[in-house]
Amino acid sequence: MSSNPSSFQEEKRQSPVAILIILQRLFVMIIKSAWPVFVFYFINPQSKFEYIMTLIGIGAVALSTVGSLISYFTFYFRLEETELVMRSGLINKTFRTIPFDRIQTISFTQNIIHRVFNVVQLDLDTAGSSGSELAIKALSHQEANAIKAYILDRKATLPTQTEAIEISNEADNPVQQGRLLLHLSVPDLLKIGVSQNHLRTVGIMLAFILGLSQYADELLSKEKEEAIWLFIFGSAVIIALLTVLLFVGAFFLSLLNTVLRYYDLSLLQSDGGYTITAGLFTKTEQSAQHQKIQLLEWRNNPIKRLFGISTLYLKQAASATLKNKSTLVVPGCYLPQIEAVRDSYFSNFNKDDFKEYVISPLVIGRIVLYLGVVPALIFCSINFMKTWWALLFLAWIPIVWMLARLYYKKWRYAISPKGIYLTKGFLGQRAAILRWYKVQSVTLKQSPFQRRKDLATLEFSTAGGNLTVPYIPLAHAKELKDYVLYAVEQSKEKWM
Amino acid sequence: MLFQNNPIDLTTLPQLEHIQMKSLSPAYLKVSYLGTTIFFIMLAIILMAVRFFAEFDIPFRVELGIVGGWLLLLVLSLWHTYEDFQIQGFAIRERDLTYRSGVFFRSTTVIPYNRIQHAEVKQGPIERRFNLQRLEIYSAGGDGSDLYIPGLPGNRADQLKDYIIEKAGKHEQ
Repeated sequence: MSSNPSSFQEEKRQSPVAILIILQRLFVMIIKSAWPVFVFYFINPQSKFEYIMTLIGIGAVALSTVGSLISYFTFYFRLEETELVMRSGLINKTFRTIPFDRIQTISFTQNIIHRVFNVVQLDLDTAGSSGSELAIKALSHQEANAIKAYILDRKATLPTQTEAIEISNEADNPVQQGRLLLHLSVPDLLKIGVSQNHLRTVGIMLAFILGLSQYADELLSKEKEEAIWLFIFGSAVIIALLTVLLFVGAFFLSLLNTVLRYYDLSLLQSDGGYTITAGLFTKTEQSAQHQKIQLLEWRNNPIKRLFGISTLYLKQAASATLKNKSTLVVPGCYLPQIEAVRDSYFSNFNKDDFKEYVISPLVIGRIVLYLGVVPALIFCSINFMKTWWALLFLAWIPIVWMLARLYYKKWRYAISPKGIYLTKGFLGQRAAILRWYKVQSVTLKQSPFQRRKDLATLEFSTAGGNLTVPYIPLAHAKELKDYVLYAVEQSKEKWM
Repeated sequence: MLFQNNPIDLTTLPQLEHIQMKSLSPAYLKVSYLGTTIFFIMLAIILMAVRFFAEFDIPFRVELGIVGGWLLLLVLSLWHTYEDFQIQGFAIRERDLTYRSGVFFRSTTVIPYNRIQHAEVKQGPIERRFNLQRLEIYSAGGDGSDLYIPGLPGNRADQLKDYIIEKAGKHEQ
């Protein structure tokens, strides 16, 4: 390699092409944030639209030019023996240090401007939260390659890293052939399709129907008696037909979606991790290495429970921007498959190691108050002027009360020296399992109500998502927090 | 390594409650007051601009109400700033870092050093005037698992950052 490592030690700027790239980004951002102005002038067409547009355009160009120049000339980076040091900012100064052994992926991206000038953007991902990534917006190919080689080289020589090689490129290290855990048959596929969440579709339908009735109201005030009745009857028929049609349509749509996405799904387990392949026309493959899996979750709904299936989520460590993509979703898992995955994540899983606890029943009152009483009273008082029927909104309160009781009854969490296992849900069931050494931080939260009642909510953050245990006695929460911190600080196991 | 699973007496574990939280630099209270005041002055300017350019008449009673509301909110915000300052605090232990905040919804977050990804020191223009720094500590957990400790005097944040980074490095083995 032609690169001289000592040259990295000096502070460097990005390639000047970065100015263009930042400029383009800022410009788009400014234009996007000006949308209320466009909306305003769309409503008020008599105003001087072109004049305002020109003003916004000139302003955006000027602002983004100045911004990109400042951003370019104040951004410096240099590579040290074990870390990358960056500083930037004119008024708000930022100094950032990224140790090489925290860097998970190094990737190059190019947009059209990059391609024209033959440069790349270098992204360093540290599997942390959004603040911990670093993008060097423009570098020549040669320089970017040299930096990547240098970082990988330094990583490999660092004594702390044993599996540094797998980090360089995920595609290089596919999970090997292994045991077939799950293969979805056509009946399985139908079960999954039927038990999809149709509630969302119902929500869309309701919004549609409400919109229609609003329109009807407006017409009603203008038309004559006869026409009114005809209209009511007509629209009722239309609405009923539409409802049925929409519902049937939604049902088949989600069925079709299921078949397209999960056709021929198979879950492979091997020494390296898990691999899922699925799809009818476009076959997708996703994999998760064992050590990257942070926590496991599985959920069902009443229909899924009838079929005895659950959806399993393998939550992997990834940067904030990738968080959703990095979760492996396995629909249609039966109990044996869930247990197989659970046992490999939580080695020697034994129910007897766990001690079970319940949450405080006071949670019922809070749910009823915030989700039941408050919205019911608001809707009731808004509509009370119009009609006495508004009192029907109050029926919402006992419904919420019943659901809240179910929620309380189903909430269970069990603690073992190695981790936590919890189950919860309203109508369906959700379960999650987490090992202590995967925990990144612990937060104890208290609302004013919880402070009065000596309760607390405990939150465990992991690189794959958070786990929250609400409404537990304060003393127990503190004890648990200290215990988990102790477990994390003692552990020698690598969380990834 | 064999997994050891000795029973642990919970009462012997180090308890967070036994250590004293360090509060932020008193200068930070001034910075916070200043920030709040500037925000309300900006708000007043915007309101006055609306009043000045508005083509419709605003009744005197409404004007009085808005001025009253502005004053009330200003006082409440200043009170909140003060209370918040009283509650904000951090603690440094051998193996972890704690930060507490929140007047109404209180939260205490703890990050063990062996889970810290990286740390940053930041300083805004007002903070520079008052010789204050802000320390930001990132773990690999999602939103809400990062710590922001504002109002550290002098180069305390730099020192803390070096200390934490060193600790974080040492725990990796």
